[in-house]
This record gives sequence, structure tokens and C-alpha cells, in this order.
Amino acid sequence: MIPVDYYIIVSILLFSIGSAIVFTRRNILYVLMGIELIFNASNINLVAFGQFEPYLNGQLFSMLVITVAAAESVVALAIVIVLFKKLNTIDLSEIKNLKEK
Amino acid sequence: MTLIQIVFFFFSIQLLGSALVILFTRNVVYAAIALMSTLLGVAALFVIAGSDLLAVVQLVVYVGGVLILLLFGVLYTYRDPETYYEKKNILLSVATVIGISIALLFLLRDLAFDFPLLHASPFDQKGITKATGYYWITDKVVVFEVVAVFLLIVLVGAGWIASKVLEQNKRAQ
Repeated sequence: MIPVDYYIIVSILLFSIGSAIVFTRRNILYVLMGIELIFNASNINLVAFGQFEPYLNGQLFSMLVITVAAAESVVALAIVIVLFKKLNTIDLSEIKNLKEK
Repeated sequence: MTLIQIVFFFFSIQLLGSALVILFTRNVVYAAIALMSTLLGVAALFVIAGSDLLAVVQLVVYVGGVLILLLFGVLYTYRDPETYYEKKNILLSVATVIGISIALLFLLRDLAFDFPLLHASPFDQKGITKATGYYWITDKVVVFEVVAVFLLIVLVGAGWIASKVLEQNKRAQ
């Protein structure tokens, strides 16, 4: 079987790539993709450590994370649509205020 | 090196490579396709770790739902091809990736990784997926109830956010 260390290393790399996407890209859609990658890195860790636990709690928590990520994506897309309708841009450096003008 | 390790490394390289494609590409549609590849690789890692049910959930929710939603966002916010391209800052991206990974590895260095090496996945026995489903839907049903209420709230909220703006636009015209 695969040692847990390998899962940890893959998950660390995935997390850092996702964080780099969140920090450096300016398009909102890229940032959302980076957040999904971070969620997936945490899921890999939960499932890898859940192998040692006979009551499947790691996998259950991972399931919770997946549904919360889906919900987050839905709300974020609704906000993106509203922003695009109001400001006609999805560039994060151009979105400066939340209040309606 | 056993066969399962080769499969593990194949899927790890696939998912990390696709994640790097998301980091470096300038076309948001390519990024969405690379995200699909990454999610498939993560599902494969779930299968290797012995949680088939979670892999199926990953495929249904992420590849079938979230990714389609993201593609819808890409199409909806389409302005002109120029807006899809942004200035690349490769050096900053590479520095961020290396910095965060080295910092995390440094933090984890002091932990003693003396987890036992499993020789067979405890969830490899026959009928484990069915048993898992029964266990979750009977003993752990509270989690699913919480998630259901949460998803209902999210759906109503997202529809409310979007419809309010649509109504305002209609009134403004």
C-alpha cells in the first residue's frame, strides 16, 4: 500500500499550487479554481488518514467538505454574475467597492 | 516498486501537472479543462486510498456540478478574447509555490511519521461500499440532514442574489 507520507506530500504540493493561483491571478474564475484545489488538497489528507480509522469518519468529513465546496461555488458564481452585470468586469484589481454607486 | 505505487505516482503527476497548467495558462477555458483533469486525478487517489464511494461523489459533485457551473461562469462573463489574457508573473507564481511547500514541509518535519504501513486497505473487502452507504445513512444521518438544510439555504440565497439584480435591470430599462 501507499505510505501516508506520499499523500501528505502530494497534498502539500496541491495546496501550494492552489494558494499560488489564489494569490497571483486576477481573474475571479481562476481564484475560484484555486480555492477548489485547496479543498481537494484537504480532502486527500482526510481520506489518507481516514484509512487508519475503522469508523469512516475521515471520509464522512471529506463528504461534508465536498458539499460545502459545491455550495461555495454556487454562491460565488451568483456573486460573479451580479458583479459582471453591475461593473462589466471580473478583474479583481478593478473591483474596488462593494457599495452601489 | 509495486504496481499500486506506479499507479499512485502516475495519478499524482497527472493531477499536479494539471494544477500547474491552471497556474500558468492564460486561457480560462484551458484552465477549466485542466481543473477537470485535476479532479479526476484526485478521485483516482481516493480509490487508491480505499474510499470508492467518495470517489464517485467527487465525480458527480465536482466534475458534474462545480465544473459545469464554472464553465457557465466563463461563458456568461465572456466579453472579448482580450479580457481572458492577463499579464503573466511566472516568477512570483513559482516563488509562491516553492515558498509555501517548503514552509509546510519544514513545519511537518518535526512530526514523527510513524504511521503503520498498511499492507491491504481495510476497506478492500467485498461489499464495503454498500456497508458504507448503510452506515452513513443510518448512524450518521445527522450530517446529511445538516448538509441538506445548508444546501437549501444556499440555493435560496444564490437565487435571491441573482434575481434581485435581474429585477433591478428590468426596472431600469
